[in-house]
Amino acid sequence: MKRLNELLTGEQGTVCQLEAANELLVRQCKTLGLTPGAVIEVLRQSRGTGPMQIKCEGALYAIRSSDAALICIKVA
Amino acid sequence: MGDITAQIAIIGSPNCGKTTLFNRLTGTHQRTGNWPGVTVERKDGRFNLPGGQKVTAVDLPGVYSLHDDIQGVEARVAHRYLREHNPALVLVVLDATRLGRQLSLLPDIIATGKPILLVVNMLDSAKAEGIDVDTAALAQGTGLPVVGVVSSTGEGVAALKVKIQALLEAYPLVSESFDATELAKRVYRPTGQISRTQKIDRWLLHPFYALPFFLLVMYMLFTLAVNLGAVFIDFFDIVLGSIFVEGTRWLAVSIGLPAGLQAVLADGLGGGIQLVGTFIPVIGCLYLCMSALEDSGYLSRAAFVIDRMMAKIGLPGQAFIPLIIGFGCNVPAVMAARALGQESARLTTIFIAPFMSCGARLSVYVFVGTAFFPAQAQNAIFALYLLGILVAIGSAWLLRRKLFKDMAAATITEMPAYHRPLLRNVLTQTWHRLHAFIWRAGKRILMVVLVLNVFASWGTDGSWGNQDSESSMLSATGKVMTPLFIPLGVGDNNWPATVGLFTGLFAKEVVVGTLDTLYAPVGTDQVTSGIVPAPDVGADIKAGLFSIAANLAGLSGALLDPLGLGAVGQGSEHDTPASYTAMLSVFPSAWGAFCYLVFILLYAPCVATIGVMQKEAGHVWLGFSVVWSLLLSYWLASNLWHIGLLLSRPEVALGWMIGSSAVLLIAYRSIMFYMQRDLKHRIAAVNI
Repeated sequence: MKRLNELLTGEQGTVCQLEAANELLVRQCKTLGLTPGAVIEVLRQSRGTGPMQIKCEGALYAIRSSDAALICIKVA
Repeated sequence: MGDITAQIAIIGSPNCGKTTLFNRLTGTHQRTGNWPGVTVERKDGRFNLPGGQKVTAVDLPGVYSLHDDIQGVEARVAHRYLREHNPALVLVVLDATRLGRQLSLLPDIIATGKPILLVVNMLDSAKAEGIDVDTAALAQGTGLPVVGVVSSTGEGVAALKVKIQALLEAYPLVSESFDATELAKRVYRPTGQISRTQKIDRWLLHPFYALPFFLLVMYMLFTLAVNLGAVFIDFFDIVLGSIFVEGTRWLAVSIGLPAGLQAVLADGLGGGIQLVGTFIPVIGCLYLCMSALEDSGYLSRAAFVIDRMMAKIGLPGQAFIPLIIGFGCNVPAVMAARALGQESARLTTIFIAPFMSCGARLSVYVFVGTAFFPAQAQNAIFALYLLGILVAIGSAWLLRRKLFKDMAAATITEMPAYHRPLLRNVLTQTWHRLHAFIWRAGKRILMVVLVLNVFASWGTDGSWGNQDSESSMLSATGKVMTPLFIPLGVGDNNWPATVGLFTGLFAKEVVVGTLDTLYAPVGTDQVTSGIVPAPDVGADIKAGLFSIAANLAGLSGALLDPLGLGAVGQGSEHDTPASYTAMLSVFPSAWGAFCYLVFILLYAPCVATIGVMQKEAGHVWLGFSVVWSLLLSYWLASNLWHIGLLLSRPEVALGWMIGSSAVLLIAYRSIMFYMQRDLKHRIAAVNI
């Protein structure tokens, strides 16, 4: 199991848990469908603290790596 | 049938092409307003069905779900509309390229019990991105009627209207219970090939090319919005001035209205309309560019590229664009902050945007700067720009730390697919926003101009027409208030500088005119002596058109120098105006003049900016921002002046610095305390 921000560009994984540290992020992820079971592909990894680009069910998202660190991923 | 118009609602997630479909259906028959109590835009439109029946369409805000969890206001507005109004039909627009995700909105809408028509949009993009969408399976799985359209080209829209008509006559009551995820798998089949958007992103978000491309786009946005827009400012200024100021005065004089009423109508009302009008070209050009950028999908990429830098001052990447626009004009900067979804970030951006030195302030810097420090003008102006940026960063940091510290922020945002911007969408959007500026912000600007102009015209002896003279009420007030500004290094007898602060509220460049006139040794011309000639509107329009040509000729220079800093060097080559001598004699020193410029930079935004700030953020936030900048600018300018006094009068200087800093700290604490309390009451309701 890894954090989303630890995934490399091109890697895919399944969301297994959203950490409750940022409640707003959890709610937002739920609305956007980034819930346990969703498959996420990393399109662009950030260098350092910048944002990363991910793909989930055909839609693209930008997320800062500090928030990505709160999403646990099971790498396929 | 046909006499009662049926109402249908259009709903869908953000960026699903909902508004494109709305524009396609209703054409120019649209009306905009705000949903009651919130700053979310409401759009209504009318169109005819093939059978001749009239239909009203309501474009609901783009939402991911009807629960008001994250998109507070938008979701609440949409939910309340569906609950309280009774639309005859709800069109649920689904983006074919992201159909799997979009279906999760459906159960929420079905739960409201309204008749639903599913509109699968962007079928062409889906094909281009290698996605296979099975609309028949969608209809079968949900039991709901389905129509496929490409709203950007209009394909399928005619069939959609036929379907709407049929459903308004009789709606089949079949509904299947379904599992959104299961259904998505049957309906939505990505072929696994890399989408067009991802291919474009490879270049536009490339580790090396992303930043140069971003800078190029920002440069083009700035030059197009600010410099190209500015070409037409003089035209609006001359023509509107001719009609509304001179024309009104002529009319008022010829029907024998008293002088007071003349001043109110011509200078107040007419002058206000003229001022609002001069903002139309810049704001119109900005919105054209912004709408095109938004429509294309690049706006969210721009935010992505600059996000790392903006994160350092606690703002999302999207805040960069309003701030960069602020260097041209603060008014569109405040309005561009609308694109920020998160309320705390939007309020912060609106708060700090006026600290960006706008083009109008530059003209004051040049005027005062070339008089006092001709050799150092470049450096002084650069220092002022930098100071504004530092104050903005500091204020943003304080707001984040003190006011919004309990506000959770989530940084996940959707990046829409790239589309070719549609001219129809861009023009409609620009028109709606420009219209909102003219009517809603314009009204507020007009009020302030009215009051200020009446005071500028009204003489202490009760006469009228005392603009830019020593005998107006404004000048009298300026004289009374001058002692207040001595700690800034303004000088005992320097009342014109104080009056400049008042007139600077109109628009910062007016300070130049005021200073120039009031410092000039000769008396001003008589203004209203007897007969006022009718304005020659035709000749003025001609003059206005000439100004466009002349400004266009100067535009090529602006491409290399978008901020217009080249004017700094030129100033000293011209003959020094007569007013310079007087100005040099009343300011105690060049350093005093610099401190005055610092105050001009920060003390308060112009009335137009104040007007849009009130419209966009409400009067509480506006008051907070103005009080904050007044205190801060006074503290900063007076302390800079006292630093200059450190050697000659150390006890006065130190005493002032310590005393004023203590007062600032106390004021700052009490304002923050008040705002924190207020935030919970009022602003929290506006979705933080």
